[in-house]
Amino acid sequence: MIKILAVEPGQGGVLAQVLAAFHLDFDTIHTSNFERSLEQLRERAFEAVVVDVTLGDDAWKLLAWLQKERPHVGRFALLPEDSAELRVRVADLGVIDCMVEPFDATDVLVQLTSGLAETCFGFLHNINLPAFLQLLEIERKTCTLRAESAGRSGRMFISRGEMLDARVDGVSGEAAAFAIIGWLSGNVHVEHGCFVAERTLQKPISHLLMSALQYRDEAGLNGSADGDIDEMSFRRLQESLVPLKSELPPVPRLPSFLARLPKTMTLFHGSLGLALVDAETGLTLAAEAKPPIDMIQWAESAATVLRQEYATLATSSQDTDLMELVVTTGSCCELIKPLPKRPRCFALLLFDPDETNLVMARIEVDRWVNEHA
Amino acid sequence: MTGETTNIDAAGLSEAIELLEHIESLPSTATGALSFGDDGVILLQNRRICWAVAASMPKRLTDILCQQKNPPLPRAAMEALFKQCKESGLPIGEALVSSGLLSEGELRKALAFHNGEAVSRIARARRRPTGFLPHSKTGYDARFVFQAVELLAQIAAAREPLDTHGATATLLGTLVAGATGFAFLRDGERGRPTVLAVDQACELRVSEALEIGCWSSRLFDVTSFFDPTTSVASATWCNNTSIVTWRDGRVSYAAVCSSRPASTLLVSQLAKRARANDPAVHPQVRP
Repeated sequence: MIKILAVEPGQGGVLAQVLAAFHLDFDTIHTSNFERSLEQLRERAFEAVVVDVTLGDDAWKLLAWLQKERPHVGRFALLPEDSAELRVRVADLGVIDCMVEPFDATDVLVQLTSGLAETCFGFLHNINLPAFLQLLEIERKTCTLRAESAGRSGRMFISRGEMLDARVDGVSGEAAAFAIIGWLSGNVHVEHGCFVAERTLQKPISHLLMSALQYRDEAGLNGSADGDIDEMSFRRLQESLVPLKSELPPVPRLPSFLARLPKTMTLFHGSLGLALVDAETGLTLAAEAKPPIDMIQWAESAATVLRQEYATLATSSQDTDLMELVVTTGSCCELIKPLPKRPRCFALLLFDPDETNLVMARIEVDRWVNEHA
Repeated sequence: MTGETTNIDAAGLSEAIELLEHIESLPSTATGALSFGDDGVILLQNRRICWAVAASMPKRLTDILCQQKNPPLPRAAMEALFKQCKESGLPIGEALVSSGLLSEGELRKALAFHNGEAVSRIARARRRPTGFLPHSKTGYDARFVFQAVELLAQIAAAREPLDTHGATATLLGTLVAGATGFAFLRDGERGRPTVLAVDQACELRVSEALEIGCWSSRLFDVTSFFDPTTSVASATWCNNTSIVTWRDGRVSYAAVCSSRPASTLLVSQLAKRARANDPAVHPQVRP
């Protein structure tokens, strides 16, 4: 059960009503001013607070209070219009995402659930920074890292698993990222949100890690074991690096990719079965299901349906790829999702629409695909 | 193809489809009179059909308008209004609605009936126009002009009034914001669907609607082979366009959704409805 405090004007609150309409695992409490919101926040533990900025001073006071007193709580803002000025102002107060009027029920739901899923918060003592960064990339997390080591402090801005910027000692971009990664270990504060005006880094985190560690090794050989950086040595390093893309291993072919699949797959609430399927043959590559569901049979039939869709697409005027198929039967809903990076495969999720819904099913499948496939 | 067949005069419908597709092949700015010699004329405004008349039509629009109401409107009142309009130059449609004799919906329905009948008769007599006389005036009220696919539905509806009535109500009662669509019957003999009802906002061409209907039928054929209880299906493409299709009795429906939220909401609603109608809602092994 996700506890949400919806701070909106009027009685009942639009958002609270929207969330209630979906019959999901949300426990939504509605307040309409700063004082009542504070009472609720002191009485209960909320995962998220959604604040309508049309409340004026009450909204801004509450967001500032949350940033200081409850920084671990996910914060969302309801905006009356899509204004860049308002977005910057709420972002400065640690807001994860903004919902703009008129509200679309499904969009709100997606923003809330994905916003909460992507964010993370905490303090990590003496952590292996490269390993932690890899985890953030795989999990597609959004956060800001404040790393401290040997009296120095640097920041890394990460959005959906991509590092957008890094800053240390007045330097930003790759030089800063290399320097911070070069510390290897230290204390890390993980803060909500990722607020940068300009993206200075374009490479994936894994590429940055390889480059930074290569640089660190070379610096160590040259007697500068702390991996610290200066402008000249950074330029030398950049020149010496061959294009990273060619160094990276090719995308794994099916056998090695299969070897990385988890032995068991975790089913989320409401799902009846999850499988990774070869579209051409209908073979199940990995599966987990609640009894008496036979995922092998479901996978074969889903592959047949998908193959027919591909055949139809090939003869029709559609010039775009199929993103997903949803089939509802008397017993359950079936979400068939081709994997863009692996055209031979698709993810198949069966779920009970009385227990969960399509939005949650999509989020769970996307999460699983990002992690394992 | 499996499924139910209809009693519709397939040959007559094919001719109407051919004529309507010809109209849709004209430039989007086509405004003027499409002449069919002595058999009739179709007036177009930006490629939409505003008025059609066939030489062999048994009923005049006045008769249709009178019969829109129950009890029927007095013919004398209607003719007096026509006379006033002739003198004042006020369009008859506006006059009918503003006088309260007919609602906007009733007038649109009567015009659709009249134009559908005319197009059907013209198509049977002569499939290709003898000429097109363009003009620059676009005086027809946009509320009372028709897409080709709407008239196609009207032509089929005249043959299947029972199915059409329910299909229209179901379609309009189901569509959500951001979705538009149509209802259709499968036609086993011709191998293509018969469009029964169309949402007024539907911008699909006749050929597109028929293609979507065929796609839906094929999809249900395959899914029903594995599970006969399949009632709703949707496909989403990478441009975020989705088509949601469902069936209720012998009528099938298709909705084109311009956004993922719209298709999600529609699928969720339909899935809930399907489950509510099916008492055996517990998961089971696929047969």
